Amino acid sequence: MRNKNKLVTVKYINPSEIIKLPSDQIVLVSRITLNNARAYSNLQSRESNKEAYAVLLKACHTLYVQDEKMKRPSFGVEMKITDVQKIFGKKLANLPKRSLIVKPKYQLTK
Amino acid sequence: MENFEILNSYDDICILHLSDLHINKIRNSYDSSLKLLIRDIQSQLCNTDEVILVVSGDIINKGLYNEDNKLAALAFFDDLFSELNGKIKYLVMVPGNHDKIRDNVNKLITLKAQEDEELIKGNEWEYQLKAFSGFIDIYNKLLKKYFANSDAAISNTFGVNKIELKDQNLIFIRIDTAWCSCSNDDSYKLRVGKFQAEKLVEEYQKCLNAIDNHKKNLTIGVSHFPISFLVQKEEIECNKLFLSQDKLNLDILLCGHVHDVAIAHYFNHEHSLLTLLTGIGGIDQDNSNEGHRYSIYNLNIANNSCDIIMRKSGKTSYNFDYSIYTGKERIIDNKLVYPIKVTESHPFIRLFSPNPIQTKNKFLDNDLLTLIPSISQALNDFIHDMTHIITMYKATAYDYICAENLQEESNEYLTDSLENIYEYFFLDGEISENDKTLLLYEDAISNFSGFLMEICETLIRRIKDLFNSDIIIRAHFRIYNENNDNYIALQCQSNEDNKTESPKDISWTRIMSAAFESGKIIQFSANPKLNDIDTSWEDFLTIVPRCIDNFYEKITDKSTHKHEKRPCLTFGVSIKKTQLKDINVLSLLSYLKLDEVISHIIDEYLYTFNINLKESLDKLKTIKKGNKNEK
Repeated sequence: MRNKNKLVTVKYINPSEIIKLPSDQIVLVSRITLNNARAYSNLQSRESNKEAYAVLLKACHTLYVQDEKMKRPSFGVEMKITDVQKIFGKKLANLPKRSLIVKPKYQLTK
Repeated sequence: MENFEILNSYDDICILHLSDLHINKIRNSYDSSLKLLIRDIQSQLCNTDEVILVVSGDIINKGLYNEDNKLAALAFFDDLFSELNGKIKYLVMVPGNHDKIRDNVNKLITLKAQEDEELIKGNEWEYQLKAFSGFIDIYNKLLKKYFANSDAAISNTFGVNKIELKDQNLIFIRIDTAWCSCSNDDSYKLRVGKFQAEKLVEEYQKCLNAIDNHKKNLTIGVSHFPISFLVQKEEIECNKLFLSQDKLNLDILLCGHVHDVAIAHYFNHEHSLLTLLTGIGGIDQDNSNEGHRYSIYNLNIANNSCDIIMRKSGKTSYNFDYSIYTGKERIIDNKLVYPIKVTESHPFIRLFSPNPIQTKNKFLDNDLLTLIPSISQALNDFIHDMTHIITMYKATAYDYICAENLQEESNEYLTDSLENIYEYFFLDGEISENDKTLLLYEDAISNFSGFLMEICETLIRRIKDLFNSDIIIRAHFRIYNENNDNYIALQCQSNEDNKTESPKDISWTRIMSAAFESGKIIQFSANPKLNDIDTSWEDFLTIVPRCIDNFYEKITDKSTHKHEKRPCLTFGVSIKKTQLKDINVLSLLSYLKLDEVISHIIDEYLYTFNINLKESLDKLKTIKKGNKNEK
């Protein structure tokens, strides 16, 4: 088996533990997770949660600005925990286990 | 050997075209402006190795073929041949009105011939020829001196010459349009004459018969006057003579004489005739401050291209000048670029319509051609992005599957399976049916919806700059809803997200039906009559991705159990605030097979994650319906 740890250069956090992080903590939300949220809100009515949709749009916009700069799709976008909560709300705990990443430089020292 | 011949047809044939030199003896030599001309020709042809020299008349001024002027003319050509140092491989000359020795008796006969050329028979022509004896003498002296081994000396002012250069067979038709002239200005009174036309066709056929398989590559006519200078009836006759396949079948006509007329090219449905003029602003003319022009043509038969370099004299040097040609847009890299055969140069792209007679064809122009590389690049970038995105999905899926299945490190089977999945995802390895089941992790289907959104978003990001800056573009997927036999919007992205309304649910349209049945992209602007929905979009492409299983069987008539097929998934790109260029971009996206690209990307996702299209879309439909019910 190839060393699976080689793929893990960052620390994944369990979404259910996100609540334990300070609200201004920045996490990297994977592109796929963010896209799924956006795709899901497209399936739903965008009107149902305007605030969440606005945050989502902003995050996606940031993602695509990153893409433009890198000339290719980027892995994800950095967001504050508060914004992540706005988008995913109660569903936060149901997110795939490895969809939120705390990058080493943001890792808490305590 | 054949390949060698093909490669040679990519080699340029170079023609140096001089006209209206009007040489006079001046201080024991010829005019100094002609010395400047030779120097300029020498510098322009420094990179050329083989040249055909064509002189389309008016070598001497006002028919004064006395010994002094003849010597001055020969001295000019000697200097030209010597400066070009053996590069001139062939010489083709025709007389102009100034090459005809003028006397009163000849004038009387010529004036009659201008009225009725039938008067010229047998001896009369011999008499006319005498007026050109000076011209024939110079031509023969040059042929003898520089081309001793080639064709025999000429005895007539018109004729046919076969030239073989770089494995190409070129036939030059020397046409005497000056015999019927008797002054400096005989415009619209001139004739080629039936006798000359018949003789030229006869000689041309003889020349063709002498070529293996009749393989001639180009026929080039040379005459002093353009055919618009002939008597009207003769102009019509010459059109037939020059353009008919069974007559002279000319590709190019090289002329001189004119000073201020626009150039007309002639063509019929099978054939075109490129008319090239030079010599304008003769060297000794009263209006010499206009400048004298000469031309160099580089003919490339394989590319069907004729590069024209025209140079005009100034006070101290020659410069590029294309003012007599009107095609400014054709001047590229300081030269004028024309097709040799126009009828072979009208390519178009087909804008599909299910009814063939309504299929439209968009003819290519330079604007359209310059768009193609940008659109091709944008599509390549789009494919590259989507490949990268699929890799991200694979990496995430792999991570997830590992986390789910590596609970017990000791489980040998799972470890092997994960190894296999790694190889399948990232090293193009094979995967067994058993291991495939591991791919169906819980997010695979909901990820598919996000993936379709990525397709819309990425496509728009990559193509938006091809359109005008005000454009509003929307890309969307719709899915089939069996209950209402309609299509509901699944994913949609726009470059102006806030200004664009969500796609409406629409019924099964004729455009969708046409796209599904033909397997081709349907562009609205090319099929306006097919549209049966009310839309505010100015143009759009409708695509039915040709993914595996992209159809439902629908029972349309319960009594007869008649089945009809409907695609499960459709894709579209729509535009608003459109300019003409934007419609061209859509046409070219269609031409460059955007449908193949979209179909391939979706198939790649479905195959990689072992997902069934119908099942996934059914699940997404349930989410969508559930949401509607909740509302």
